[in-house]
Amino acid sequence: MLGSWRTGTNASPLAEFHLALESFDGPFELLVNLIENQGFDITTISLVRVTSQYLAYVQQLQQRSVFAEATAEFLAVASQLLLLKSQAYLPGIADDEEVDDAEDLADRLRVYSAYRKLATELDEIQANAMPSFFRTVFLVDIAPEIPDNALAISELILAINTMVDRPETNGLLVTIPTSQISLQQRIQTVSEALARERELTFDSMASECRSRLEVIYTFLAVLYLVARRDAVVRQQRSFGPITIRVSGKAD
Amino acid sequence: MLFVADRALTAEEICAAIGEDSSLVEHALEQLREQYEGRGVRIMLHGDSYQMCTAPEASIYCQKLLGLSSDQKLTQASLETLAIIAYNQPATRAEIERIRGVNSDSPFSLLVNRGLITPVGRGDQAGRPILYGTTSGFLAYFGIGSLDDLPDVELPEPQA
Repeated sequence: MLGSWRTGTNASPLAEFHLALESFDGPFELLVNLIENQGFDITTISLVRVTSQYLAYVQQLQQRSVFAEATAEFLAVASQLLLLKSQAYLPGIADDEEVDDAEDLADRLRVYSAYRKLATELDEIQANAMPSFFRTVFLVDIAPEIPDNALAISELILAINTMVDRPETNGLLVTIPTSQISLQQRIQTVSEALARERELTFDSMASECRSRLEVIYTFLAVLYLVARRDAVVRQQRSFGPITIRVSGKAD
Repeated sequence: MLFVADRALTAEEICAAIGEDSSLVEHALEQLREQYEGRGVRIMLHGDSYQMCTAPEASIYCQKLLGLSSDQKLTQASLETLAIIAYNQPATRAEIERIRGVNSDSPFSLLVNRGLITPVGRGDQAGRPILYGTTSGFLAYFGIGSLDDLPDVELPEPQA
């Protein structure tokens, strides 16, 4: 079907394709537009010459990154032109199904061009748009949680002591050589843990980290796994717990 | 409630919170909307959801304050996709591709990533395809106060 060559604001590779034929001299896009919308007689156009001129144009493009895109676009449009032209030549032979196809195509073009016009209107709106903004963080979520009963100093001291007594903080005197952390290792560790557990929370992994750097590496590792589509993450609300799951890899 | 919410609220949600009749709440919301006209903040109506937002006139200052640039305009392909969804929502990806006649994956993911469209449910057709609708961010992006303020156009019925 027709489509992406009909770009407006962003130039399509076909936009620069010029044709010089007996009955038409101008941009290729204009020609297609004329045939579609203005009833320009397609039988006066030599498709062979359109194609050969296009091939010459593509030769120039070869070095450019748009080459594949331009070729694909042209193929789509050219096959459509071929269909239109063969129908113009063989009106009597076309069976019911083909007539339906032609009507269907005309109908689709009608629908599509309506939306295309609408897109142009939206484009004008966005060009002059004065966007609005709204709150993106739910205020309640970042308000500190204050327990109902006021804390006694002794409880705070107890809490600190419990923390200091935790085995991982016990060896505070030991300096952990940070250079031993590698992202590669971290990715491996996280991905193994994930394979084992199927589902993890980021908090649980972070609590096993012994330095801030390790937490950061863990986070990077998670991002890497997400990018590779090995994992999916979910966070229900801002600052909420992050859940990491094994991805089904289903698209 | 509209002030503290980080998303659009439906009249129903507001009703549930204050325990009033829905017609009363909707009437009050409409009154509020009128009262905020011409002020620095507005109340935006997206479908049946309400959300407080800054006035379009304050746009340039908010952009500056938030350090946002306004030069990332949507392309024609994205705009077409967006137009089809906005005027036919909820719509499936297949319906959009049928109208556009081309694969629309990349405008689709761009629109989802920019928060202009979002999945709103699943259709009854075979395979239960995901249905997409516009978000209140869509209205905000174009600086439109309500879906009713979109350009009024006659659209041909897309055939089944």
